Amino acid sequence: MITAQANKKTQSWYDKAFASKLMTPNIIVIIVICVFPLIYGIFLSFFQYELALPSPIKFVGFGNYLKVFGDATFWSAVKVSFISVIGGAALQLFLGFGAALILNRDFRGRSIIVAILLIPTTLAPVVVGFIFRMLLDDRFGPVNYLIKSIGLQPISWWGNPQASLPGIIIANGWEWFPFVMLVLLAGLQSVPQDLIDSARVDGASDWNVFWKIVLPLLKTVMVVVVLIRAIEDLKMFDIILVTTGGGPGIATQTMNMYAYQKGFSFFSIGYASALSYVQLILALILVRFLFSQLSKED
Amino acid sequence: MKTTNNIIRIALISALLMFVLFPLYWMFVGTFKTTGEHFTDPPKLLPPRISFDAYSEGLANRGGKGLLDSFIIATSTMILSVGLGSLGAYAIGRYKWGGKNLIFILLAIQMLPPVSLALPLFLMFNKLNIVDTYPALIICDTCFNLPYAIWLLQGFFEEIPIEIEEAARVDGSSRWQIFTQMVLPLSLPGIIAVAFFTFIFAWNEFILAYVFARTKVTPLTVVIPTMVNADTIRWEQVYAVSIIAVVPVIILSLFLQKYLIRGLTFGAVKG
Repeated sequence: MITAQANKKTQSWYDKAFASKLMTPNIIVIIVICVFPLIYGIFLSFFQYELALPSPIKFVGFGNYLKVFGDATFWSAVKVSFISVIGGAALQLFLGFGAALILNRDFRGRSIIVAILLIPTTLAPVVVGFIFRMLLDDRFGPVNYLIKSIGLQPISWWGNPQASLPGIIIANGWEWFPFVMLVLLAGLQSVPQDLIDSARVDGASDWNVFWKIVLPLLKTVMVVVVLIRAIEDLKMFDIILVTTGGGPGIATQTMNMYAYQKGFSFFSIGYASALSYVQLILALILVRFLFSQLSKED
Repeated sequence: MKTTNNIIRIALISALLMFVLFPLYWMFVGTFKTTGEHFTDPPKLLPPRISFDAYSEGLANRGGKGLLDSFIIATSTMILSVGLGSLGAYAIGRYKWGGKNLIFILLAIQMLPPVSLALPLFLMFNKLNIVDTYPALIICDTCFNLPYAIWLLQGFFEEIPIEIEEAARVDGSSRWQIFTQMVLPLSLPGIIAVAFFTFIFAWNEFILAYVFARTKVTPLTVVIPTMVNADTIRWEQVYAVSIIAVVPVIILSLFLQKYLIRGLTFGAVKG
């Protein structure tokens, strides 16, 4: 706060000119590679533009958007996207919180364990997808071997429409729960120890300390971490493409996959653009909702 | 009571380590199998032999070219993102250029569905005839990285006490000198963290590479799936090239663990 005020005082036209000079290259890059393509994309979404067909480009107004809302495949993709975001958040929060609680204690070798647990987050999702494609293989995967050996029915992970989305959520969760763990660990360490100590003195049990003190203090961090993961998981593409390719049928086809397929497999440029902007609007609604949860706490 | 707690803790930590390490181990063992040995019931959990043929075959089978391309793209993206990003981050963090909303606009870019940018960019690059070139991928990766780099870096710049900069002003240093000779060296840990992140992002990036790479420029993330699309999948080669793709990043992240943790938690805690 103080620095911000001091900063304001020392600010003159010269500062602004200097800052503008620093910003210029960034602004140029962002306008040329982000803003312009976005506007171009919105423009394209109002046309019927089939790159693979000889038909001429035709202005259709909001036609593509109306078509999106009547498209059953799109609504299936919305459902798949939201299930994968919610299921993914639940799994990552469960594993990440569990791991953070186990590791929130000083002991020898802790930093090495944290380093090892963080390895999945640094891997290319494509590689993670290929690891899990074989791990969860119907007949020859070690996971089903384990399931069979304890006497249960093996799961047809990539063949069964009910199981393939959970399979993807597990692969993605394996990669990203350590991130959630790390953030929650930082959050846990910022809980003031004397608050916990004084509650203990007043006779609170470990259970009560956790539910009444630690958890409420962590709520903001938890919402932020879910927000970050939701934004990222909504864009999930790599793992799905290399495990199921959106199948079986359209059981794991997210909005992202659908827009990609329309754009780059069928080259329906206008329709794919419209799909991606509807996805953006739905993402904004989701983020807005999570943000409102955040401000409710304050 | 205390010892039982410790035993439970050790058991849980072991389970956690198993959960994280087994998939990596599975991939590693896979590189020592022959093509048929990936499909056995029960699965072979131990390496049937120690042979590095799959690695040399994988490298020869476009893996080596992929490694080189990934390295060129990731390094260039890193240099561009950190170079441009630090200029912008200083203007935003110290001079509040563009006000408070700018930083949120930058973050909104992060939320864009990849297709919404990839599609118009593809048409543009197609017209310019730069599909399947290094610049196409470097430009795209930089664009997706820059907002994040600016956001992280401006937080690091803000941590430098303004009094130091004001003192240097009084001593007659120019603003540019303060930026290059004081601010940048002082925020070196932050810059390393951001450099590391942008490198990993570009190294692991897939969807843009999949759209813009054809035959001339093929980073590893594109090479690996094409190996799987072949008629007979040579899983041992797929896994060998995957290992080649992930080992540099794992080694880097173990050396730069401090920066990795900073970069990962910074956004969430600050935001």
